[in-house]
Amino acid sequence: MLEPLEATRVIARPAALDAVRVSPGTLLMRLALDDALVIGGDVQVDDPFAIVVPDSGWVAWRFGEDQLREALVRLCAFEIHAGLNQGMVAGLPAKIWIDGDRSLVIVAAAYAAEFEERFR
Amino acid sequence: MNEFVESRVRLTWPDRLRSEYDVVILGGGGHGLATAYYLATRHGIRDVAVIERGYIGSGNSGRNTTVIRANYGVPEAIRFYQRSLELFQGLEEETGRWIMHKEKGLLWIAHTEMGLRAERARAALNHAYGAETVFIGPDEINEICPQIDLAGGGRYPVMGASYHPRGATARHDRVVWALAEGAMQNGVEVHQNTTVTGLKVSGDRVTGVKTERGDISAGVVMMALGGQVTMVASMAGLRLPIRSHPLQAFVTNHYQPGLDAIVASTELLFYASQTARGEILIGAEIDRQPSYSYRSSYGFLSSCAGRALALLPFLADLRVLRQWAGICDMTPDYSPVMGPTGREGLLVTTGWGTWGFKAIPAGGEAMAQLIATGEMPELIAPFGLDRFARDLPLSDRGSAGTQ
Amino acid sequence: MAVALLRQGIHPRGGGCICLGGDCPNCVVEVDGVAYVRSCQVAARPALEVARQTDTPRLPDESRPLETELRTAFADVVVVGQGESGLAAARDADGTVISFDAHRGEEAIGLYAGPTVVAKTPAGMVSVQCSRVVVATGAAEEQPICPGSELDGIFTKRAAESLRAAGIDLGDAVTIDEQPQRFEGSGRVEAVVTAAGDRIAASTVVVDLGLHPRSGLLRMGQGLEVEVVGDAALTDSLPPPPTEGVVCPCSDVTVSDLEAVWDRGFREMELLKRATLAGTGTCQGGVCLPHLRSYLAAKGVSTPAPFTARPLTRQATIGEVAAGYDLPPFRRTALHDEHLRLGATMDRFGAWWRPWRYPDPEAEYWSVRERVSLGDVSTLGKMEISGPDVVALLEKLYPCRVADLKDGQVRYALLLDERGYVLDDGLICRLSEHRFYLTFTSGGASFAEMWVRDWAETFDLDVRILDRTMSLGAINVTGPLARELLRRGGVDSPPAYLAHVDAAVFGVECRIVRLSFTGEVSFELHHPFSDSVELWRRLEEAGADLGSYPHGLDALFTLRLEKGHFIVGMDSEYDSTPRRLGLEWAARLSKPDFVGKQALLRTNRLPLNKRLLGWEMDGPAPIEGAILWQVATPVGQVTSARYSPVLAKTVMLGWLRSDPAEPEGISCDGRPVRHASHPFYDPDGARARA
Ligand SMILES: Cc1cc2nc3c(=O)[nH]c(=O)nc-3n(C[C@H](O)[C@H](O)[C@H](O)COP(=O)(O)OP(=O)(O)OC[C@H]3O[C@@H](n4cnc5c(N)ncnc54)[C@H](O)[C@@H]3O)c2cc1C
Repeated sequence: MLEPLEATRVIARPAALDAVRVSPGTLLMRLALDDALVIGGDVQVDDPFAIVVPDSGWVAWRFGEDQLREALVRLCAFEIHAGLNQGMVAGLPAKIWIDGDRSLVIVAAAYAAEFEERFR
Repeated sequence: MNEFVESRVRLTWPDRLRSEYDVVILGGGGHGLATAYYLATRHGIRDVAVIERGYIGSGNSGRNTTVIRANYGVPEAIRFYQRSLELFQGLEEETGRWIMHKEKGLLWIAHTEMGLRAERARAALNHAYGAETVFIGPDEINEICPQIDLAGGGRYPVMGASYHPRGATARHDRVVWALAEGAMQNGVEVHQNTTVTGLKVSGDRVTGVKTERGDISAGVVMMALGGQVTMVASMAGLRLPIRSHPLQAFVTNHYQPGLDAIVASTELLFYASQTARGEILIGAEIDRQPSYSYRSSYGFLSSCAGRALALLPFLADLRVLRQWAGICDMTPDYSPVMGPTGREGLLVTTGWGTWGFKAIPAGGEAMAQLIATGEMPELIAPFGLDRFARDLPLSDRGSAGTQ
Repeated sequence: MAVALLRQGIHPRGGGCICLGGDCPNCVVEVDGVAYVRSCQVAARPALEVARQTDTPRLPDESRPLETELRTAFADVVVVGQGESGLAAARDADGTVISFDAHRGEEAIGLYAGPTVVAKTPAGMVSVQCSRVVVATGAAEEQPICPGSELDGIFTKRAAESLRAAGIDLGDAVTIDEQPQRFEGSGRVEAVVTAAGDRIAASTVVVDLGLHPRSGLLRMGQGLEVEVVGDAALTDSLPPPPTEGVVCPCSDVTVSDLEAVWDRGFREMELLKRATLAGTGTCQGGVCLPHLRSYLAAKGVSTPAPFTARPLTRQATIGEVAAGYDLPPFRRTALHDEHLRLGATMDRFGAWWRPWRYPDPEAEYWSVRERVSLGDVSTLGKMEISGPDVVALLEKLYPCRVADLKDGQVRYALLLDERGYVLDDGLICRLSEHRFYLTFTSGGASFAEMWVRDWAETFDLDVRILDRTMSLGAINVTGPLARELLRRGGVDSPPAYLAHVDAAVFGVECRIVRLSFTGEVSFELHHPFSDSVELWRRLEEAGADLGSYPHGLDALFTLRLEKGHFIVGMDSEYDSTPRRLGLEWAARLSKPDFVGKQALLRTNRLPLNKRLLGWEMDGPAPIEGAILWQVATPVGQVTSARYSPVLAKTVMLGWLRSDPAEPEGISCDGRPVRHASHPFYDPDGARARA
């Protein structure tokens, strides 16, 4: 159910991240002003000091939005909206991406086993 | 009538607040009242007023989970708390009042190799400095407290524990009242519903206090203002190395005795005991965010309940009656502060954090001695406020995880 | 359920006025082993086991699996109570509304900051975060306080109405509308003596004594967005002061108990409550509070305030309130299953699962000292940091020099707090002019990230920070044959001591960092999380004929102790300055500034009160934590103690809590110990540098 996520992590000046455009099909999650997780594509950022590294430390669970929302009702204590949500899911730090059929939940791979147990 | 109706203590209240006393103690919690009690009974100093903004024990002394133990992590603390533990053992006899003191033994459970290492070290240190603590394995734990799930719910296996047989509890209110009564009988005036609004300062000297009901001059002013000390101290321009954090607890309905020991786990961050009346009392760590709010949170109740069940699953069907919070004064090194403040005429006993109930007798005894003699008793000398500037903190975080 | 029992002629509790409103304790029973359940608040169902509750129930012997769930919901308005006023409030409210009503088995148990209302419902626990709460909990009927109130056959007016509506015949019921003098009878009521003194024979008495608002939730919600409507908003008029009988049925407190403590000086509401325990039972003052207030008012206490309202307003079990709470997670490195495959005993160290020991502890140790060994160090804190101000920041953060590091160099460093106390330690690796890779201890990683960010903000320095702890694995290849194993992995020019290179090992891109914690040649291979298993297996295979065997934490602790390396938090204490640890060289006080410098300048001049020293003794190791004695005086405590196979003696680190020039006559575990300089093993580090 959980699949490893091959992503790119980009730490850069907020303005440089604001300006990033990704190709269709690439998912850019803005985790923080200076921090983005890019899935399924390349990324160029205009910041000579940017840290752009492959990041394999995540696992994802892909889901339809409805199914996901239903499952999350029991597991998280915050309101979920479209796009990126970050918070505790079943006691684990998680990122939830809500976008119709492309919805997914992401947790650190170090929590994958715990997550699988809790997210039955 | 239930057997817990207080049937002996007699509290006598003064009619009026005078404008001068030899000693004015701010705060009618355990520490303030114990100091007054020992001043009057041991040193014959009776011209003493205790100023309390609410009712006696309305601060943490009436909100705590009443664990008494001496199994601390630095030598100075072990000696001090051992003294307090011994004074507690004799307090019923001394005051002639039933404070529901009961030795139960305290189990401090380890769930990992590092936990085992810490509990072994605790036992060794306690033993060397005069507190009785032994390291025991799961079989002995099971004998002492058969309700503990040795598998720890699968996640927190019980690997061993330090066992402190003299660990005890007493009824918090009863302790406050017994000391208040003893002080009152010896001439101490306790003024309830009197809020301190300022300190009278002349140069570097504190000469008295201002209250809602008038000013008072005093030879010595002692602050015993659990939860509020930084605010009053600041009235004398004094900044204390203290942050105040809420600490919460909850209690169930009462049941027949059955949980004999006090059970604590640093890793699970909770401790539980059964009161004389039969309620199960459960507490945990301070809220991370400093605050003066007394509001309880459901997050606390839920998580504390969940963690307690990992070790004591038999509690699941008990009904929760009430939850509450107190405000704890936390020092950077997790040890209390007792002694002079650097302002003449102003003493302080504070930094009682989550652990000061057990310290009430020894803290009061030592502060009374300090007031009476003008000299820091050896037992508390290491706990002075100057220890931070002297770089001699008494770091004991590992002992504060549970009360 | 209460109605069902009464229909059978069974008083749930045996006696006491029945209100059917959830306000009193007079109908509590044990349901399926759970005591203190108000039978008027639960629906009767087939197969429920109901038992009469003894005064003090027994603790349960065993536990049941927890089944309750917690749902979190969001609404603009929460209405508690769905009587007339509650229905109206729900209807008129703007936005989304969630309502609860005890008649539907939904009991609000507490009102918390937010506001958040938590309720226990037939479907489980529900927590609703909202903007506004409407308390429409109505009013409770006043209970009779007089002798005989514990008899069977007494009902409040509403209870009587409900019972009649349920078709239960209450017989020759008499209704009174003033607190009576007493009820007479044994077991069942036979007569009531009214306030006026009239004795009326009756086997059922209905009391219609007035209402008191159920204000618990409202009082609990002080300072929050809470509004009250309907009967819950009634001004509370005090009943006549109680003169005799039980005031608090939960705790069995009588008027004479109140008198007794009042006479002895307990005159505040709280003192009265605490001295008698009135109001501290199941109903949390539901019955007694108006009467206590009236009692105090009659004594001349002006407007006695009710005691503080605290959750829970209605009870839930510990198992129920634990619903939805998940115990803290434990992290697994990518190699978790490899360790299990190799038969390791796993233990938790901080937030992580780590191999504590593999099946052959001897091989763990000797493979490091004589051959080659693999250790999973993925748990180390790891951080990449870059930016125009990165050197300036690191110079401030670390007490050692940073600017002089050349690309490819590695330096061991302490991290100090403002007091000059050691927070953590780790490595500084310079990747390029403006880019560094930092490591921290496994336990210190998450704190370190906050620490670095905080100071970057504080000094307003322009840096980019990425915590890579969870996205990189790290394997330590250590032992005299480590270089050979790397060569087999395709690394022909491994980094020199205190250097790092980026290179592929068995095809896996690694940052190879060379330092040594074990005392032997060591290469830490930092690599993508997803490549960990592959890398580990290839190293394992290729090392087999070199005699490779993995080592766990237990062996590592021995190996590092032989080298005299301290571990933050195990050997160091909160107040460990570099001087106390004997690491003065690690703080370069000639630097212009660094966090902790001012403190060190001051405290280094104070007398030294304790020192972490190396010790050795013959025979087996004592426990870690053993006391150091000087004759009969405890003078210190051992923090780490291991028998060293290679040195054939026990080596230790331990605090000496005094500062004698040369500690003499020290013993531990009943045996003499000698102060010894450390490293104990290979003091000049020739092996690590080889
Ligand atoms: C939930 C909880 C559990 C705990 N569990 C334990 C435990 O198990 N074991 C243990 O040893 N310790 C425990 N503690 C800690 C212990 O309760 C306190 O350390 C101890 O009660 C402190 O006593 P005190 O006299 O210093 O302060 P308090 O009892 O708080 O007394 C201070 C008094 O000062 C009064 N006051 C404040 N401001 C003013 C003013 N301006 N004017 C006049 N009066 C004022 C207050 O009303 C109060 O009565 C716990 C604390 C809490 C909150």
